[in-house]
Amino acid sequence: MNRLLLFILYIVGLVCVMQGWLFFGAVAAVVFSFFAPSVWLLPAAFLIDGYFGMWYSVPFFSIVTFFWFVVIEFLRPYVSVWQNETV
Amino acid sequence: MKVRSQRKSKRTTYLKTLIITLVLLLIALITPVVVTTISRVVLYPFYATQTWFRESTGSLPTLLREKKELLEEIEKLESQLALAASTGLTQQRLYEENLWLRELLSADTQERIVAAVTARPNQLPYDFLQIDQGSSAGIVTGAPVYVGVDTAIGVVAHVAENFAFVELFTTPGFEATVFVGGTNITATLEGYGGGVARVRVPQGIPLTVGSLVHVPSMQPGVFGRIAYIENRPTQPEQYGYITLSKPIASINYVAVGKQPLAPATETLVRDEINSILEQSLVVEGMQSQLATTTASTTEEEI
Repeated sequence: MNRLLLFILYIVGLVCVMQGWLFFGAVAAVVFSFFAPSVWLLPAAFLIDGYFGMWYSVPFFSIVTFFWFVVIEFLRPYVSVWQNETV
Repeated sequence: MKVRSQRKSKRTTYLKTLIITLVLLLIALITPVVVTTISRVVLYPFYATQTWFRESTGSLPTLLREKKELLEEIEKLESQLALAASTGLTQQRLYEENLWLRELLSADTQERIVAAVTARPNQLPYDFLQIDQGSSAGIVTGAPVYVGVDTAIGVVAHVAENFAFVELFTTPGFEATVFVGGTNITATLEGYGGGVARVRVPQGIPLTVGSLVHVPSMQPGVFGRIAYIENRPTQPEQYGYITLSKPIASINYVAVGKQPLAPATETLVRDEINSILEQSLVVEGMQSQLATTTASTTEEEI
């Protein structure tokens, strides 16, 4: 996917979560993860937790994104193999 | 060898990222103030844009906000209009049904004399009206006075040749037996002055604002609706305040009955109350009966 589109998707996801539209934010994050390194989601999660002041209690978004990063990066090689075989 | 090296390199990057993230997480948890401040600085443009859109008095955000509010207002008003139209239709149906029932009962419509109001408070003592018709036009003392079709407002108190005085129900000291719809009780109406009358009922009777107040000794006779209820639990009685359906200053013409009020006996009052109750029951019954007949029976069956 085009880098500009990925950037737009990233910002849209960020704004969605800031607005409290968690479902759309999650969809944007999932789509982003398939086309770009999911490690880029971590800074956004850090910022959102900071924005909502969640670092004083439980940084929910950072923890969820961290686990998402672990899972998606673990799965990525298998998905890549499958994609290569299909092609 | 090259493939193995690439895999090893990827794994190393993965592990490095994991470790760095965990370290950052720990640092952020130890110093939340720093992370929160950084977040607020970085995300400030988004926050500022959002605030600008929601609260700014600029033309663009105001236009967008007002458009949304106007659409909501239009939707609300449309639903209110639809409701009002259906209510108006119900009123029309009930009025026609009432006329039809009165015809069936051979209840003659009382003849009336139209008179213009020539003086009112403050030119006269409060709760009196002067009208431009008198004994020469057939007005007699004690005749009921109406505004509209069935809204009774008072009785003729004094008649001269070319004019007469009307004493309103709201005159202080005026008393009449009334029937309060909704709660279905009989009570004494007392004039309170200033265009206000009140009914006094014991505590525990559920008076409701908007209940119709009928005057059974007048035919037809609806005085108005309860506009306010004064209920103090420490007092043995509660009061329902009734105002005239039309302000005194707005009454230009009245209709005066040709016959004076007959002295209301207990039996007459009771009969009238029963008639009011029956009419309210008949309206509901007739509606469903007519609907069933139209839907299921045919001429042959009849």
